Amino acid sequence: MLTAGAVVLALTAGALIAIPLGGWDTVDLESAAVPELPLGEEYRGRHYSVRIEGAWVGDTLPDAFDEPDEGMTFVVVRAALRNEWREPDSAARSVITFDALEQLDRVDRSALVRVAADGVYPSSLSPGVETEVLLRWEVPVGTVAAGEPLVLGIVDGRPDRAILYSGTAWRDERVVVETTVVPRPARELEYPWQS
Amino acid sequence: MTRRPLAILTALALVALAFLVARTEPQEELGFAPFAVRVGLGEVGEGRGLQAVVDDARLADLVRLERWTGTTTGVWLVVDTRMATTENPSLAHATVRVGERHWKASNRPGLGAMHATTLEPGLPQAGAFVFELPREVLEEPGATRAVVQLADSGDTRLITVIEVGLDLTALDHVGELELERTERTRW
Repeated sequence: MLTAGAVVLALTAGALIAIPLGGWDTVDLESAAVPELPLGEEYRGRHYSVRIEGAWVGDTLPDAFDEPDEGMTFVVVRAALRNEWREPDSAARSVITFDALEQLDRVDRSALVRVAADGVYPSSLSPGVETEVLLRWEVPVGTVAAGEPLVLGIVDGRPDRAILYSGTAWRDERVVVETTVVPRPARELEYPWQS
Repeated sequence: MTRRPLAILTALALVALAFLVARTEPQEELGFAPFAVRVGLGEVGEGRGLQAVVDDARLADLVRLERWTGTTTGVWLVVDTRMATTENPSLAHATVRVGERHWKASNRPGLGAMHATTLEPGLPQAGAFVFELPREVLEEPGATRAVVQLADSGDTRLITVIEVGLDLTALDHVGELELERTERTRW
C-alpha cells in the first residue's frame, strides 16, 4: 500500500514539473537548431571563415562556352573565404551547401572554385589569406530560382589526424550556420577579371 | 635462492630498457619524413633524384607574370629557383613553412611560373615559385626561421627535398614585381 502511494506521489511530482515545461510535446532539439547568419556577415570557422556576398542562378554565364547539362542550371555564389587551418587544402569546394545539392551524386555537390580577382581555378586556398571566390554548381532546373530565397549552409568540422594519408582529415562536418540569399538572374553576373 | 635477486634485477632492467625504447623510438611521421638536404641561399643542393638552388627571395604586394596580374589581401613571397631532376621527368613543387603552418606555391600565376614546370634530368630550369601568405605571418616569431622546401613531387614522404632557411623579416618588400617566365638555364 505504501509502495503504491509512493508511485502515485512520484508521478504527481513528475507531472507538476514536466507539464509546465511542455510535457510530452514533440519539440525540436535546441542543439540541432542551425543559427542564421545575416548576408554579408562573416562566420568565423575552425576550418574556413566564410562571408557570403551574393548568388546568381541561370543558364547564361559571362563565359559563353559555359553551358549547363540538359535539365540543369548554374548556381553561382560569391563569397570571401579564409582557410583558418595550418595546411593549404581544396575543401573550399564543399564549404557551402544547399538543399538542391542533396539530389545530386556526392561528387557533383562540390563546387567549382574560381578566384574572383583573376578567374584562376586555385589548386588550394592558402592558410590565413582571405580570398574572394566564385563557387559554381549545376543543379536541376527549378530547384533554385532567381528572386526566391535560397538557404545556404556553411559547413565546418573538427580536425583529426588523417590515417590513410599525411595531413588532416576533417570529422563531424555539418552545417553550422545558414545564410539566406535571394539569387539574381545569372545574366547579371559579371566576372571581375573581365571588367 | 641466490639466483632470485639476479632474476628480479634482470627483469627490472628489461622493463627499464623497454620503457627507454618506447620513449625514444621515432614518431610515426618521422618514419615517412622526407630526406632533407639543407643548403644556404645560392647553394646547390643535391639528393636522390633532384638538384635545386634558391637564388633569391622577395616580398611583393602585387605580382605580374605575362598577362596575369596577381592581387592579394596578403603578401606574395617570390622565390627564385633553379631546379632539375637527375633521373625522371617530374613537375616542380615547393612549400614554405612558418611555425606550424605551411603554404604551397600558388598556381595563380599560370603556366609561366615554376610550379607548372616539368623538370627534366640534367636540364635545369630557372623560374619563380610564388606563395600567397597572410601579412600577419611576417610578424610571427617563426618568420625569421621560415623554411622553403623544393621537391619533385607534391607527396614528399621518403623522397629527397632541398631545404633553404629564410628570414622573411629581412627580405626586400616591393609594391610591384614583374616576373620572368620559366626558362632553361645552367648551374
